[in-house]
Amino acid sequence: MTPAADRVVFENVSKFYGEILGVNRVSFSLEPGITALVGPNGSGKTTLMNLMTGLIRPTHGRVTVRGLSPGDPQEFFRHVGYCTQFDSFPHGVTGYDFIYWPLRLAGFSGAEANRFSEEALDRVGLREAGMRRVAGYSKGMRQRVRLGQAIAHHPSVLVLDEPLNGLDPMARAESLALFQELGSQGLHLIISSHILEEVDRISDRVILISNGFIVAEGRIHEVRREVQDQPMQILVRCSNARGLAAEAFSLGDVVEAKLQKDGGGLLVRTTNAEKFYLLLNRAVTAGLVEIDTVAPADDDVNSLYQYLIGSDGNLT
Amino acid sequence: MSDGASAVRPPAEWTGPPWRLWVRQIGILVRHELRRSLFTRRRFWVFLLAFVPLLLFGVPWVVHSRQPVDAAALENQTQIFAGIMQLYYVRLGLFFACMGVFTWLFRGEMVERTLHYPFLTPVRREVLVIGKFLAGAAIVISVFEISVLGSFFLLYGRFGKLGSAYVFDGPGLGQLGVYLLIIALGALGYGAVFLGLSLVFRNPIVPGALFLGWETITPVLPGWLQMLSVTFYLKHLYPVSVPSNSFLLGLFTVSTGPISSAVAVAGLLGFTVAVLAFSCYRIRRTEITYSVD
Amino acid sequence: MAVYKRHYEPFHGRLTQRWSRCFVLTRFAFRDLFASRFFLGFFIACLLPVLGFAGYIFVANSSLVHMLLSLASAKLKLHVSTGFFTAFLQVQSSFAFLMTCWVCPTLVAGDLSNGALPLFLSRPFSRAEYVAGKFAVLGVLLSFLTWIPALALLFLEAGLSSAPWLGSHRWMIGPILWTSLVWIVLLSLVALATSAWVKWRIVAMGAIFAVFLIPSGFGAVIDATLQTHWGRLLDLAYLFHVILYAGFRTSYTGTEATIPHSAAWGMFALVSVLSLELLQARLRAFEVVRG
Repeated sequence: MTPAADRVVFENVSKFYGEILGVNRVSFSLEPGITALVGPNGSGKTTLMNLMTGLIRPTHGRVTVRGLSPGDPQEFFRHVGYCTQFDSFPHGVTGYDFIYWPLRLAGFSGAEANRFSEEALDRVGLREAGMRRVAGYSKGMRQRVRLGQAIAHHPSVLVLDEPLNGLDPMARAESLALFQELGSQGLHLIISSHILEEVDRISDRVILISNGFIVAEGRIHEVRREVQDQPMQILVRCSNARGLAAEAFSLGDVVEAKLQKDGGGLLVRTTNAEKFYLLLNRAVTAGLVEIDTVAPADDDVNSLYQYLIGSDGNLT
Repeated sequence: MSDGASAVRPPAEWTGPPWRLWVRQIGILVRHELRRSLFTRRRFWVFLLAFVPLLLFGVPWVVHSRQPVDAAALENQTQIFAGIMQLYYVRLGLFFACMGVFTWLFRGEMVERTLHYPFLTPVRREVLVIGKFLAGAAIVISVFEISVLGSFFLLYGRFGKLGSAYVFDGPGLGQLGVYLLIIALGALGYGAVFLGLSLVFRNPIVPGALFLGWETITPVLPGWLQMLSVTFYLKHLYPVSVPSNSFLLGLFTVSTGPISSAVAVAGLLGFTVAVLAFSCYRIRRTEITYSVD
Repeated sequence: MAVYKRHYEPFHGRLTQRWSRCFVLTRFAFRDLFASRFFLGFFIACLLPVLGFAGYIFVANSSLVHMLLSLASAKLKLHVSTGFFTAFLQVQSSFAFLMTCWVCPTLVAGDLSNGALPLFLSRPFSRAEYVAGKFAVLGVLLSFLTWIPALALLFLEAGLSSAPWLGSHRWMIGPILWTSLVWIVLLSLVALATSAWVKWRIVAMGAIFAVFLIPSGFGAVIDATLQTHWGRLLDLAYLFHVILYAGFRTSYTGTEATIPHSAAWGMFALVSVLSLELLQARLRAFEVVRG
C-alpha cells in the first residue's frame, strides 16, 4: 500500500470561481479517523468538500482520496459517500427510492440494494417514513435521508457537509454516535459543522479554514500546542486551591490564576504548560494539595476557532 | 436511529468487463428515468403535443362520415397526412417535445439543484449522458410513434376496403414504416442537439429558438451547412412529397439536393453520435455550482 | 456614558400611496432588466427597424430621390400611408413577442421558484396589484417597441411632408394606439399566465414560445384534416394581423380565406379571460407540497 493509498491528500490545491477565490494553495494529508472541518460561513469548507468529491475541479493542484481520483467516478464513488448540504431532492422521490436507485447504479443487485436501503433507513431512523415522499419530510428527516444515502453503500470515506443542521437534540446525539462508530471502524470521516462543541467531542483532527486559506491542520492537542501566543488554560480541581495559586505565581510563565467560586478549583493560564505540570507534581508530592482532576480548559476546537479565526470569523 | 449492522462491508466489486457494467447502468438509468418521469403531470404536455393530431384524425369519422371515399380522396388524404407529418409532427411537435424533454434532462436537474446526486454515484459521466439520452428518446419516440400509428390507421380506416388495400397491399405500410423511422431519427437528432445545448448554455431556450430558425433557413444555405441540420436528413426520407403551395407549408418544408435514404439515415445517426460525443466531453467538465444557475 | 434602550417602534415615515404601490415592483424590475448588457443590446436591436422605417420616410420625402426616380422614369412611387404603418406594426409586433419571451419569465417565474410570493402577499399588497406591477413592466417596454415609435414616425412624416399630410391621415393615430395596446395586453396576459404556471424561468421562456407557435401548428392540422379555415383561430399572430388590418381599414390578404375580425376579437377576449383565470389560480400566498 502506497502512503497515499489510505489517505485523503490535497496537493497545493487552489480553486477560483472566475476572479473569486474559493480555496488557495491547500495541502494536507488525512489519515483515517474523524476530521472536523471548521471555519466561518464562506470560508471555503463546502468548496473543499466539493473538490474532495469531484463536484468541482481544482484550478491548480491535485486531489486524491485513498489513491483514487475524483475524475474516475466509477471507482471513486464505490469508496466515497458524500452528504451535501443542498436541501433539494428529485421531484416526487420517496425516501426509499432516494437510497435504492444509487445503490442499483453502483452495481448492487435488486435484492442487495433493497437490503442496504432498508439498513440505511434503519440506521438513520427513517424506516417508518421510508415509503413516504421526501417532499413531505421535515428538515431533520431530509437531513437524515441524505445521510442515509451517503452511508448506504458502506463507503470507506464519508464526507459530511453540515450533517447536524436541522436535527433535534436527540437525532443529533444519535448522529454523533453513528459518526463515532464509523470513525472507530477505520473510516475516513470528514465533517464540517458549526456546532463546534459537538464536533469537538468526536473528532480526532481539525482543519481550520478561513477566507479560503488553511489556518491550522492536525490533531487538536498538537495544534493547540502550536498556538503559543495564546496561554494554555488548565483547570485544576483540588484542595487548597489558594496555596496552589500562590505557588503558580512563582512561575514566571503563569499569566493568570483564577480561583473558582466554590474555592475548590483553580483556572490557570500559562505560556508553558509543561512547567506548570511539573510544579503540580512537586506540590502533590510535597503534600501541598490533593488533586481531584486536571484538565486542559481550552484544548478544543472551539478555543482553537476563537484563537485562530476569532469570534467574528476574521483571522486574528 | 438504530446502531445495528455497523460492520464495514466492502463495496460491490465488478469483476466482468467494464462495458457490461455500463450497459447495465444505462439500463437502470433508463428504467429509473422512465419510472419517475413518463406518466407524471409534468409530462402531460408531451402527450398533449403528440395526441392532438390523433384526436383531429378521429373527427372526420364523425364530421365527414357521409363524404365519398374514393381513390382521389384517398390520394388527397395521403398528401394531407404527409404534410402534417412534415409540418406538425416533425417540425413542431417533435421539435418542442425534444426541446422540453432533452433540455430538462440535465439543465432541469441543475435548476432543481439535484444534479449532484447522479454525479455522486459510481457511474461514468458519459454513461449518465447516454442513459439519460436514451431515456428521453424512449419517452419521445414511444409517445409520438403511438400517435403516428393511431393517426395513420384512423386516416385510412375511414376509407374501408380502399384504405385497407392501400395500407396492406399498396405502399401504405411501407410509408408508415418510414414515418416511424423518421420520428425515431428526428427524436434522436433533435434530442442530441437539445441535450448538447443544455450542457453549454445556462438558458438553452434562446439557442433552441435560434436552432428552430436555423432548421428553417438551411435550404438557402450551402450544402455543407445544410448537413448540420436535422431536417436535411429527414427530408430525404419522406415517402410522399408535399407541394409547398401554402404559405405555412412553404415556410416549414425544405428542398435540398437528393441523397439516398441509407446515406440520410447514416448521416443523421452520425450527426447524433457527434453531438452526443460533444455532450460527453462537456459533462466531464461540468461542475456543480448551482449559485450561478 | 450612555445606555440606549432599543425597542420596537412602528415606521412613522410616509408610505407609498396605495394606488402607486404596485409600481415599486415595476421600478425594481426595470432596474434588474437594464442591469443586463445582453438585455440592453436586445432592446436596442428591437428598435433598429424604427431607424429603417424612419430612413424610408426621409427618402420618400427627399426631393433629390423624387428627381432621380422621375429621371429614371421608374414606376416606383414612395409614399407613406396605411401600408407603411401596418408593415411597421407587423414587424414590431414580432419583436414585441420576442421581448415578452425574454422579459416575462424573469418577472413571475423567479418569484414562484424562489418562494417570494408569500413575502409579497403577506404585506398590504393584493394579487391584483402584483399582476398590475408586473404587467406595467411589459406594458411600458412593449409600448416603446410599438405605438410610441409608430406615432413618432407618423409625426415625422407629418413634419417632412410638403403636402398637408397629417390632416388626411390623422385618423391613423387611433388604430396605431389601440391595435398596439390590444397586442400588448394579449401578449402580457398570456405570457404572465404561462410563466406563473410553469415556475422555472428557462421552461417559462420555452413555454411562452411554444404557446404562440404550437397552436398555429394545431390550427394548420385542423384546417388540413377538417378542410376548413377556422383552425387559424388558434394562430394568435394571424389573428392580430386580422385585427391590425381591420383597424387600418384594409383587409388582410396573407392567405386565401380570412377569419372575420369579430371572431378574432372574440378569440382574443377568450384567451385574455383564460389567462386571467390561470393567474388567479396560480398566484397565491401559499404552496401545496405533496408529501
